[in-house]
Amino acid sequence: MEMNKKLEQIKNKKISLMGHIVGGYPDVESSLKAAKGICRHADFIEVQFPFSDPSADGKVIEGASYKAIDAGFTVEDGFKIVKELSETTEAVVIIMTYANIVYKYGIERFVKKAKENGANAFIVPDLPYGSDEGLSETAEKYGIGVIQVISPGVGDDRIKMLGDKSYGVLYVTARRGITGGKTDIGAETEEWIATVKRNCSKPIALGFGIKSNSQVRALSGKTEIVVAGSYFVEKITSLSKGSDFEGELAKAAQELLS
Amino acid sequence: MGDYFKNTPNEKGYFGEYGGSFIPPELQKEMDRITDAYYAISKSHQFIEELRSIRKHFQGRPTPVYFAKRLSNELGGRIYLKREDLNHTGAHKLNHCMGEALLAKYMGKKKLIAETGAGQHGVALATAAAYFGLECEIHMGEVDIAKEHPNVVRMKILGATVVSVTHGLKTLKEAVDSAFEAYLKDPVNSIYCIGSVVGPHPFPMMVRDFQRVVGIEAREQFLEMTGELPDNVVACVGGGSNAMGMFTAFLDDADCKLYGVEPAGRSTKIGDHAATITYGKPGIIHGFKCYLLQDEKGEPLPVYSIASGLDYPGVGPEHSMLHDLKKVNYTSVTDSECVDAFFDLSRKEGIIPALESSHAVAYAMKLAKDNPRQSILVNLSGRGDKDIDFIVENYGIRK
Repeated sequence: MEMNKKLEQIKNKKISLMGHIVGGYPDVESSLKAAKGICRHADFIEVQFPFSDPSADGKVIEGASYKAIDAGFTVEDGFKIVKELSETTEAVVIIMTYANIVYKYGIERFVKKAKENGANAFIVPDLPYGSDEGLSETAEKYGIGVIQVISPGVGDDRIKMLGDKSYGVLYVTARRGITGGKTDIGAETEEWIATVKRNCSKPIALGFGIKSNSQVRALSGKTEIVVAGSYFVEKITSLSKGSDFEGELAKAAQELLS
Repeated sequence: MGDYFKNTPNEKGYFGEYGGSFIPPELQKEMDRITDAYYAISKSHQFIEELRSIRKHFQGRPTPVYFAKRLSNELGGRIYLKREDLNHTGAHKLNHCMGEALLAKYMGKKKLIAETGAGQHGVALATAAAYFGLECEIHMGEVDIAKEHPNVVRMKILGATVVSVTHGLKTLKEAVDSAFEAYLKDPVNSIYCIGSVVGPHPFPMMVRDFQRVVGIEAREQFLEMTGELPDNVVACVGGGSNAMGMFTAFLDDADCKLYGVEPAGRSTKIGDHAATITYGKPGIIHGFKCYLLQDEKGEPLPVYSIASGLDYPGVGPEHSMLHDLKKVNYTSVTDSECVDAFFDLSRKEGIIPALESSHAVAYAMKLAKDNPRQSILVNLSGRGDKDIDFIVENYGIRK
């Protein structure tokens, strides 16, 4: 679904979910099914195109990325997953990846292909605005956009600027460092969210270390969207070949929101 | 020339289209701080004087330029060696480590953090930390720790904490991530000290600037010894710090041919070499743009070299630019040529070179044979004591 339409749709929702899968993990078909399951409850889905040096990711996603690459994942496989998700679910489909995957494919070619296959946004942690090889501009030309990522420690001016440039929502990490580690939703997180809110009027998607429904409940009303990545990838890891990936992941998404 | 250093890199850290800073905003903030501090502090009279004194009294600079007479006589040509193997700790690495540590001191930092692969950068940085009384934390893959035991011990003797990195492949790449993570936890009290002319801005510039002393000294010494400039200047290139230090002094000398020597390893097959500029294509890795050994999908390829200091899939952004501008000729030599040069220099000159530097020596020997009338200045970037066990085990002691 288109970003703006989705944002309109979730306006009155207490909290929305952004799910995340690593494309091709454990294989292309299963990762697609897992994503479909998540999308029964999630309004946004990140499809990660794996890269072997995922600098923003922790062990769980890094491990899944290695396996997907070893299994022969290609960018074209990623676009296939994106296409299917955009045609069969109501979620905003976001391509998450790293700079060199996009750069090597060719920025314009990548954006064009993404758009054709129904992707609505990009998250590329090592292509931040101002140093993105023209990704934002190109995406805009094709009527889609780049979601900017910020972490604690970023100053007010920068939050304002990146919030302004970010497409639809601003991705905010609950803490510094990498994905997957534990995050306590306490006073510090709330203060950080408040800082972001003061400087950015767009909905924020809070991620990094979201693994339980109690965290989601604690964030309800404070942030519009909650992001869970390693949580879902861990669920996928726990399933054996031939499992009902769609059903199991739908259950996992539902549990998170319960 | 003055203009070259003023405009290279530009204010965003670009060397032509290479370099830059491809990192998340919170890390960018810290890099901006280091950049500002570098510009403000490193140009001050006090800083320059202190670094000059350290170089002279602690590092033993200037290192000599030496005419390799027996080797030259045998091959033809005239081979001169810039003796960075005589720099304290036995390699050029200490040049930028002392600079980075001095900057850290002026910035009021208490701790130096870095990654290391084979341990050479770690040892140099631990040395600098001991000199300034700073804490030092070196991140190293578990696999490398087992392989490079003597360097681990050296770091510990020098007072550094060695953090074992146990995730992923447990080598250099994971060590980089781990060190950056540690740095980001406390950027106020610590500083990240990179090991070559790589990484996001300002590191490629800063490390180059601290290494320029090599080329400035060598050019002057060579002129003084011979009354002319060298016809050829040769240095090995992994990340490229020693070569950058050497080449920058000769960029304006149109008649000086510059050669960067990459490791051609065991063969031209993927995973058998680390000849980045020779076989790579532009890409983005570890926060900067450069020539990169990568597959058609953009994944960095596995690399190998007999010299562990050269096996990196990327290369300094300034080298990438100089290659495009055809200011430097990038070429390569194989493991076996490197080992031949290792023994030749040991036997004929009484100098055991590091395997990294042996690549430069090997290429210089080829040049000397082909150009008997020309002079060749080689950056002998480090001594080979660290490599002797490996060589004896794998190649024996040649007769």
